[in-house]
Amino acid sequence: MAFTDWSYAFFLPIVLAIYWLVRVRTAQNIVLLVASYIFYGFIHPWFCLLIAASTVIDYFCGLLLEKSNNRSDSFRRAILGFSMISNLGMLGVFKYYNFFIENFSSTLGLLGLEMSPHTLNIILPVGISFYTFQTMSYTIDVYRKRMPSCKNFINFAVFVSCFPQLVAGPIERATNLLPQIERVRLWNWERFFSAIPLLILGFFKKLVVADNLAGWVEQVYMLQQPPIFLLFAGTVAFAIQILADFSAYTDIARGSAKMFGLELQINFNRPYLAVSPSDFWRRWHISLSTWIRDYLYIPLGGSQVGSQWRVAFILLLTFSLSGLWHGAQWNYVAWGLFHGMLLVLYHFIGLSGKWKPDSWLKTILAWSFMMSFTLLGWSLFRASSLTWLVGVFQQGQWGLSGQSFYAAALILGYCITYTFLWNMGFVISRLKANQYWTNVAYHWTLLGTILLFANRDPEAFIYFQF
Amino acid sequence: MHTQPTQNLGGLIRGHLLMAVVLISGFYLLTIGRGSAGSAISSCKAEVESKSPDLLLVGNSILRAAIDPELFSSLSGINTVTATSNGSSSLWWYLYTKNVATKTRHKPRYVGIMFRDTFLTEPAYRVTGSYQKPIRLLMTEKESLVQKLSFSGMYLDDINSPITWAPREARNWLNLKIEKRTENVLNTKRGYGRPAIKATFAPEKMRQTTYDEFQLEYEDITTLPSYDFHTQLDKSYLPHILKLLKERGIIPVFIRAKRRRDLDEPGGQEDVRKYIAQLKTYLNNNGAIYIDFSQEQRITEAHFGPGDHLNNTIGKKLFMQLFLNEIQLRVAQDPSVIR
Repeated sequence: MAFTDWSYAFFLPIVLAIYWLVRVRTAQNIVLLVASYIFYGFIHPWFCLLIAASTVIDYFCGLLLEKSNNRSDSFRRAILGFSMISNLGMLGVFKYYNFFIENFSSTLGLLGLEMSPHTLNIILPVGISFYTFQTMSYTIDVYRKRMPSCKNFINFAVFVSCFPQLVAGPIERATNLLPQIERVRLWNWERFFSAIPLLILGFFKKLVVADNLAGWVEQVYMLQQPPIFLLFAGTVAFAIQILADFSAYTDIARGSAKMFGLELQINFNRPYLAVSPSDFWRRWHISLSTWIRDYLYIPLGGSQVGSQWRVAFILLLTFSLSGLWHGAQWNYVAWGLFHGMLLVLYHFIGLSGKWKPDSWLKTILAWSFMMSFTLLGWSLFRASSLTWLVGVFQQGQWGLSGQSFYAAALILGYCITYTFLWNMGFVISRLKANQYWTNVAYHWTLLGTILLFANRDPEAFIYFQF
Repeated sequence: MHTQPTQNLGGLIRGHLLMAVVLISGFYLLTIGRGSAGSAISSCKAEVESKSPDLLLVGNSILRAAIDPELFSSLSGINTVTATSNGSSSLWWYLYTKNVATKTRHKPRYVGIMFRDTFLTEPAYRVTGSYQKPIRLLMTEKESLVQKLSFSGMYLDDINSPITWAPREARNWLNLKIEKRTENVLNTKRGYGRPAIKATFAPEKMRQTTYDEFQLEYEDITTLPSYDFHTQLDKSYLPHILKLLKERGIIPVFIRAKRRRDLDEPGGQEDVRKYIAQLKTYLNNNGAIYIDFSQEQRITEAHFGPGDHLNNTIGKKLFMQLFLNEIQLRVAQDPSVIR
């Protein structure tokens, strides 16, 4: 089931009604659990087996880790290893098997060895990258003794499968979500009303902004050799599309969770205002970037290792893996590597970490550079192949006049038009006078815009493929 | 967002109700009289009446790619008009037959429908989303057969409801405004935009393999028909199309297009061939002309454009010649003869 399906419009109120009628925390958690499995298995019921397997493995690993607190570290590492291998194994088989086997076969081919790759014909379970990372963070935190293990299987299962954030995040930490699941939750009108604007904004961003720009992005990226300016316009549209699409999911997830009395973390914080790569990654897909930082980058040594070259290597490795997380294709790896290289570059010139420009001119310059790098990165991400992208730049046609220039200008015009109301939201949030009713009028306007301008043949959420 | 304390819940609810009323009534006021059902019927009829064709061909973009009506008319000496709607399927063809082809003062001698494989008996294929506007524009107030065959069960959209069509119309309106504004900003001549877009994203500029895959996937029937002709027939528009044409004394012609997949497997897989054999028998028994190009060897890979469409260079030219040969053979003879 997707948030934009009509079925969700019936599903959510029914689950909410039952959830708040039962009142007792245990019963509420059972309702949430059952609803989450129905939500997840709506199209492919067998997906539920995978998530159930991940839940069972990590629940018992967590208990075992805590029970063996006084045992040798190698024993505890073995349990953690088992959890990691199970989770990464599932991810590897369903998501990366074909990618690795085809590349292995191609490599053998280059060496003159023949191998007919036996690829699997399996559907990628939606959201597998998200919930496996979520459960891994739990077992790692228990291993590190940062939190006690969860003693209640139902609560843990809800943590893993909680439907608002199940298929596209945010990747929740157990330290944030589990205590909320284990706490009593009482009905609160204010909280309920504060969830509605999130839902409205989310649907607006998805159905009006992202889905109306998607077609143009598709067309530009399907051209054999688009002129560079047209590619630029298409990439700007893609940058808006992917942010709108992904942040829409988070908004709807957070709004839905709020209605159940659960607070999910913010996943995006105006990423296109970033002035450096570090700043960008503190604003973009925050739950993933902090996960990568806490469970990969820092354990590998982070920036505390002695050698700058080792820091560079760790950054490149971390971000390549981050790129690979997005999909089993080389362009995603290239995108990750590209961001890793940016971080290395900024690190070497002393603009890493929490660096911020100290004047307006420097801010504008830093922002311009970072925005250019971000767009270049998105073109890597979206391109069907690196060869195609390189070919576009090699052909050297700028397309600054004629029909393709008009097409590019038109796409940019669409970008400005469809994001106008979204940007107005930021302006309104800074108003001081009568802010409540201004916000209400704003959100009703968004609702009207959805009614009139929603693309009713919506594309699936982009991040659903991850 | 700053939230109002809920002490004044009554005031809050009244305020929101007021906004809801403004929004909903505004929405309906904007949609009154716009995009009404059947608004294309008159113009379609006028076209047929003004051109007075002997042969009226109905279909989708496959027909548009295959036949240039003016060129075909001059080649064949048969006054030919084509009525096409991109992406249309049997519902649109039925509506066109019912509300245009059999209602004009001028009666075409032949009405031909160009189809692929099992399209004629797929009433619920391509009736949702953006396909609904052309359908709605050909519908009259009451189309109980359409509701029964195409919109019962799975499809809950009320095709005439503003909730369905207004967003699409509004988007089209907005997109048109943006196009015109872009023309003004760039100081181009009026009407420059659309041709520029078409030229920039022309099919021959697309990455062919990807575009073909996209197009073919898009054109594939996903309703998984059983290929049991007789089971499908009673739930389709085909008998109704034949009945309407027969009542008006118009000879039906059905033209099966060659698909790209027919290059590897002429006529299609066994299930499809069996279905087509049953279709042929049925059409024969109902006095229709049936012409099948699916196994035409002279149409090769080089004649195809994107997906199943013939290309504008040699594909269209060849097809018109082949169709001309068939039509000249059939038109003068007994229409119950099948190839």
